[in-house]
Amino acid sequence: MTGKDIAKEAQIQVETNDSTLLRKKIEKLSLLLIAGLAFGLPLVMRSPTYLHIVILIYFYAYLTTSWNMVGGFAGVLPMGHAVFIGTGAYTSTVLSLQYGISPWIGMIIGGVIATFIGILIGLPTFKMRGAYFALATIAFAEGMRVMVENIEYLGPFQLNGPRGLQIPPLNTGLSNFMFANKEPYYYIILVMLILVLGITWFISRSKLGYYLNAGGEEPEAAMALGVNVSRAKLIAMAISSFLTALAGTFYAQFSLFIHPKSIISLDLSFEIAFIALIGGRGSIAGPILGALLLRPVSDFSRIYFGDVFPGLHLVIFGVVLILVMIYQPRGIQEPLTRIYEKIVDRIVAKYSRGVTA
Amino acid sequence: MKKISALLAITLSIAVLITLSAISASAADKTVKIGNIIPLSGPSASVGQQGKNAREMAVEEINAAGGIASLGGAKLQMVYADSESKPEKGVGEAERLINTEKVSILTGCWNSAVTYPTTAVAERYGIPFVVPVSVADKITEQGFKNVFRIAAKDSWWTRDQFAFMKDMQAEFNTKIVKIAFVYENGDWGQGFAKQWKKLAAEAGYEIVLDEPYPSTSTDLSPIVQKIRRSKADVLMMVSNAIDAILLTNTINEYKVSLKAIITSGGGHADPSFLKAAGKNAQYLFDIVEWETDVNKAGAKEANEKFKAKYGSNLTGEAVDAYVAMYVIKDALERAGSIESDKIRAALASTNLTSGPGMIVGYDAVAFDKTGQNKHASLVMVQVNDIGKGLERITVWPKNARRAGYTPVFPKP
Amino acid sequence: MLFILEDAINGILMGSIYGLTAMGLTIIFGVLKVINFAHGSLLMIGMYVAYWTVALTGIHPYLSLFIVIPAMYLFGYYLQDIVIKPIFKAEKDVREPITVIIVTTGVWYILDNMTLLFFGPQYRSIDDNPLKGKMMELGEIMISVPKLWGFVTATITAFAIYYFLQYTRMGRAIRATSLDRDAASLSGINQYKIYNIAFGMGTAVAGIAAVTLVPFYNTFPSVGVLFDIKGFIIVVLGGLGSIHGAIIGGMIIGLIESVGPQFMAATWTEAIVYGLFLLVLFVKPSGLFGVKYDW
Repeated sequence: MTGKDIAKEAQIQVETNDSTLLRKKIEKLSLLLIAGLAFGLPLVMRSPTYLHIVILIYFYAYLTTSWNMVGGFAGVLPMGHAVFIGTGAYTSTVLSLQYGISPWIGMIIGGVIATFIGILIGLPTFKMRGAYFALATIAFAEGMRVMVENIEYLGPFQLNGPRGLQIPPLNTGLSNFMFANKEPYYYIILVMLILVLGITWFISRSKLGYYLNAGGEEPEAAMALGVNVSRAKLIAMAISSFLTALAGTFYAQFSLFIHPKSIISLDLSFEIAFIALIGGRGSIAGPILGALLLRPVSDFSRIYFGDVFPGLHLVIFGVVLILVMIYQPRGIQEPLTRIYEKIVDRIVAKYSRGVTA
Repeated sequence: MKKISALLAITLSIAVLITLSAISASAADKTVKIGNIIPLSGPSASVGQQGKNAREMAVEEINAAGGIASLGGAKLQMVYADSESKPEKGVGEAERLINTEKVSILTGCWNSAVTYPTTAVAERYGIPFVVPVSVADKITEQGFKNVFRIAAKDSWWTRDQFAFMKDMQAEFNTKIVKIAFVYENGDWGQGFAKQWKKLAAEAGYEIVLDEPYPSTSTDLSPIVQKIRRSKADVLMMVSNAIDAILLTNTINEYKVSLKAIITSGGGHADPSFLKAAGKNAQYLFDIVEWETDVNKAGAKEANEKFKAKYGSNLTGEAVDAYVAMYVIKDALERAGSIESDKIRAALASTNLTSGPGMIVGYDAVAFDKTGQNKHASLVMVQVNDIGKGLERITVWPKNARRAGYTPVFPKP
Repeated sequence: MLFILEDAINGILMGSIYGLTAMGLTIIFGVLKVINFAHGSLLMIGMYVAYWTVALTGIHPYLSLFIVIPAMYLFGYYLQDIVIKPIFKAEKDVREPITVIIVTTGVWYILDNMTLLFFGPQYRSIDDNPLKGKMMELGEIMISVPKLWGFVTATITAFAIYYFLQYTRMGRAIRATSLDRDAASLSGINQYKIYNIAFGMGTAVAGIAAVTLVPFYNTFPSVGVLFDIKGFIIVVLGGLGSIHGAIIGGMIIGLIESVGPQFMAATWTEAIVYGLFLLVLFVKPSGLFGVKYDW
């Protein structure tokens, strides 16, 4: 290799370094932009109706991101995550109604209980694959709903059976996790969403993420390499159920009424899985994109068609599900990422040409 | 791939066409918007549709008669939202109706589980909320200032059911000793059962069966077997339409001998119940707020009109919705404004005694401090065939009984 | 004691009908390896077809089978061909395409709510059919005649399908595809055609189940949902892909539902069903009669 060659090589190195640096910069900038938009949104969007809809979008994005740790990275299909939402909601609500404990503390306790339940479910079920795992989690969730519907008192705790629990909208304030307007809820769920995204990002780059991925795709091969797949899955399940339960408390405080048929319902479990699959499971952006697409579709079609043509909104929802799955079986995350990459490429190309010229 | 896209495209374009035709109907005149949150799809869609039809008829009448005079002839404009019987959807819709649609008054939601959290939203915004029918006591006992209920509450329903039983025993000289309770395992059924147990203990009846059942049951014969073996004299039920039909048919199949079956409206009052249960429903007693044979001016005409329009008789619950619109109209007339406070105050001082909408069996609509219509009263009807096919005949209280009819008790 | 016998008989009869509603699910899973979430909706469609056939012509409910079976077979065949096949083609290399679950759920929403739009939310039942409300009395024991018909139909259907799969050319091709789809297509079997046929069969069996229900049950748009979850539990209990497993799984559920309430509140039997389901899943993950796959 001549000196000239070495010099050329070095230059290319520098250039690629430059462009990766640039890429990183663009990535950072766009993330900042999105964060800025998200934090500034309530200043522009004054209508509580739309804020309500956006809060629910974030709520579902949060749930789906939590779900994604098991359903996405670990490669199984949990269809019963409403169990954890219910656990979180009931724990914090019972504690605050009967013992005056702040829902913030109840939230953590609910998370811990949900973690135990998650491990309890995970231990036997992670041996199963595919359809069996999905159906087992459905059975767990439905069984849980039936139990709660039949239990008036669980020891000293009043669950109220099928009638559910109502939180009187009296003492607003941060420590009571109750507010008269939407903005505080908006910021709480936004921060929760950002945190859970951060955790996911961290996990996906950690050893655990690598194990999960390996175990999800080729469990036998991974095990042969000495990866303890089921332990990795259990850890993921524990984290996922803890995080999901936190959202349960948020939901209880946001809607101020919980009952088994709404909060431990299959509809809720299914919707989480749909959002993940439509958005693109196993990716970080997928849950957010899925929620951004599906929630408005279901909300607005219900608003516009609900009164004159009952049921039409669910027909539309079904059509969207089928269309996305046929044309983008890996979720809408894939084409959108491609478009994003293309834009970045163009900017990078333009910029680096500008530098060399 | 192509085939499916074409198929889906057709579906979507039908949807779009349908909407366009629907949207074009919005009016430009001065209007008062009324938001209605009712179940239009999902498991309670059938009742939701009844309530919607009744509201539509009342509003058409009110608007045709010149709207709200004190507001310069403003028309009532209805905005409907589908709750799918889900509390969270109800809450979301209440937010939207209040903030985006800017409705002046809300009504709904039939399912008690939806009504609780939804009235809480209305209370937070100070928007008056008229509940035509959602019977749980709790709804008017939340300390809310903006909630007004037309229908009787469940403690009154159960009280009247027991009063009826007592009167029947005296009138027909037949003793009732053992009673069985069978009810759907939800807010509504549990609420009734709690009251029943108290009343039964006070009246000294022996409870031989106390059985909640899941409303998603596909086979109710095990429950019927329990009723049969309990050897009860009287069976009291709270059911949704689908289980009401199934239970009634199965009770007949198993030839369960009972002196009487006393039901609590809801599924048993649903028009499709009589159609589907047919002769098996004969001699059943149902408690309702209103019946087509009520002795009140305008009631018969209203029912004929409703039947011609929508193909079924007015039910007690539909009448509650119908009357609710007239109560709102009356309040708006007196308020002369669409400010929430004024409407609220006007609703609170309601004393509607006459007028086209007053087809209910009692004399006046007026609300007590909790927002409960204090005059709401109930009647018992019996399903029987007196030569014109199965119909619902008012039998109790005695002064409301249809002339010339003697109730069949005990059941032959 | 007699009570329990009476309840057990009812449980077995009703359970066999549950098994029949779930049989289509197990046929479809056996071949396509996907859970068809739209199965309850297919049952619902079958009930509407049967209902209208009987209501308009006034024939004996079971005669409507001659219309329901072909109609449902074609419906299922083309549903798979038009809506679900594209996904299989897009995800050729995936053994159990999860995306299909989403698509079948989409189909579920569309079918249920289209029905609501067209037929309204009313509950429909055939009032004067010769089976409605008929009871057979054996001494103290009462047996529902329409359920007995359902039981006989379920048994015949199970045997017929078993025979078809074991002893006919097409049946063997279906079984070959279900065991190893790649090997089957290498030996000249058109894999997608087999999928269509299996889906058609599953749908037709849902139609048969619908006919057994129509004489004593109500037809309404969301009726399928009531049988959906039950179907899932039954097929997993009996072993996914096993025909007799579905019938026996159904009978077990029927027995619990029927005998259980004599000892406890009916609402608790549901919990027992789920408990038993999970227990079986943990002890024998492939179900009572399932073939042991690699899960």
